Amino acid sequence: MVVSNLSRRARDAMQCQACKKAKATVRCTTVINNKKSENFLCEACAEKTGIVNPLGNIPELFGHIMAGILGEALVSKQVGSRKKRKHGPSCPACGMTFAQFEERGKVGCAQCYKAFSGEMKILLRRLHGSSRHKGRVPRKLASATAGANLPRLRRELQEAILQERFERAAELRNIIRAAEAPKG
Amino acid sequence: MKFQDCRKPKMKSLSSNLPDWEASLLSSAQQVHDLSLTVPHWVEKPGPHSEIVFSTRIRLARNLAKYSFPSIAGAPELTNVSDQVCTAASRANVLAQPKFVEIDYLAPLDRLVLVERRLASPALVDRKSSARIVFGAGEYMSIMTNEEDHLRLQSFQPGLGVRAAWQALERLDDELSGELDYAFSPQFGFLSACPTNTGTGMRVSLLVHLPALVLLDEMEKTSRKFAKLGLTIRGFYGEGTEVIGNVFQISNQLTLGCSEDDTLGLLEQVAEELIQLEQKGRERLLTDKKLHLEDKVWRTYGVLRYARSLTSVEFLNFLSFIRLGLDLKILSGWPETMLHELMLVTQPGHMQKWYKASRASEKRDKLRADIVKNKLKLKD
Repeated sequence: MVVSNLSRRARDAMQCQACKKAKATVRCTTVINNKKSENFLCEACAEKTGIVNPLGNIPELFGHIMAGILGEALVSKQVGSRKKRKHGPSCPACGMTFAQFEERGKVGCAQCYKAFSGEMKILLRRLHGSSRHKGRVPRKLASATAGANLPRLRRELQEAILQERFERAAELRNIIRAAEAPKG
Repeated sequence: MKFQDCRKPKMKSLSSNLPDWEASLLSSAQQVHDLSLTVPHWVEKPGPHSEIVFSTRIRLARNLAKYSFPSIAGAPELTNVSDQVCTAASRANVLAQPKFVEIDYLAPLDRLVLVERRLASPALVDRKSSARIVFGAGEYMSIMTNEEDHLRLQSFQPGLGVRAAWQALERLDDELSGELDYAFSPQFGFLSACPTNTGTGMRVSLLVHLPALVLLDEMEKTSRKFAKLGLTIRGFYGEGTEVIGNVFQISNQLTLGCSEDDTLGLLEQVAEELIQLEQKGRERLLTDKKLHLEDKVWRTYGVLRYARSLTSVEFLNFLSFIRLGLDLKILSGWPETMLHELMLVTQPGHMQKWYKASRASEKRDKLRADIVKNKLKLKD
């Protein structure tokens, strides 16, 4: 997302697209999956939607960018208003709400990923173009599943593929691959 | 009998038989002071393509499953995390005689030294409590505890040493993950405080020296090309868009949906492409603008020889042309590792340690000019 200030000439010509009253002073350009969208807003509306001065505090800006990225998806999922989400479901382990995470740009603990797994999937897909891990598995986990479990895991993988449960299949593939890897 | 058996270990721990790492923490300040007077091994050695790629760093972000992440966890919880990491690290063979440092025990100057050596991040040394660093022999590998994540593992190599750095880091990660319960999900991978690191938690960064591409005004085009591949390229020194000394940091952005091997391969491939582009640029400069180039190099030599005061920014900019002059055989006589050492010891913290420099920048700039003259044996 690129936020830029409009020139004086452009300001005189443009009206804020949100309140349709004040003159637009800020242009917000977002490119998601190669689709470019441009919004012209007045300062008050820009602040309301979480767009801030690009020269401002970076962690804060990052939080807002994520909020921006998520905003679209969450609105379409009817998760509710920002205010509601502040009091909305929280992580059972650390108590962080999703709105708090949006503000800070950091989760509170590992459980947050489970607690907000729906939103996380969307966010990760936007950030990385994928929400599926393809890399290493910790040694402890790998060795726990090694040996006796391998045949069962392979069977389960076959079943998952036949039933077209590809997410589960990919998880199983990661675990099997890690278990089969030579120990260093 | 039973009573005695129970008390024995407790008595032991109260006496001087602390685990090695805990004893090591007590002398944190002394250790950093001793360290500050040496040069990291990876800086002293030339590496593959080190005329263009100065160094390779790989870092992994890791967290422990059952503890809150550092941004919200309380001090006792964080100390517990640090203790577990230190215990595991003290058993890691790949670190070879690791040293342990408690950031809290350090004066501001010692903290600055750690940042200048890239053993600690600026964010780590600002942390209030329970932040530690562990580093192995030669500073090839290190661990930061309780920065943004519980663990940040780092591996350094001179030149383009992506595979060597990874080989060592993978071993360290394996050894630690055999002892610690990492926060991991089969779907999202290694879970990080910031979702931009979740997945492999891996960031590969190369420091590249690209004076020809800058002189030919081709950097913007080049960085735009790499952005499309999921890479970031930015000035290493200086803030924002400012580039000092024509040194750039190129690193991967994505950590999810690609394996560690994919990322290593991408960075290697891009580095080789960059090396070729820069080399072609240098050849072009030599054929089209030889006089201009020689003039620039010799003028820099002249300034370094006669300057009475050098700011660190000036020095880095001049050094870039000295390096270019050496690479293109316009100048000769200095090994590149000496220039790397010079870059290390002319930083504000190291100057205060090595040359007892004053904290006032004006006096330090004068001293910097003298150090450079001395090291490069430039006679006035």
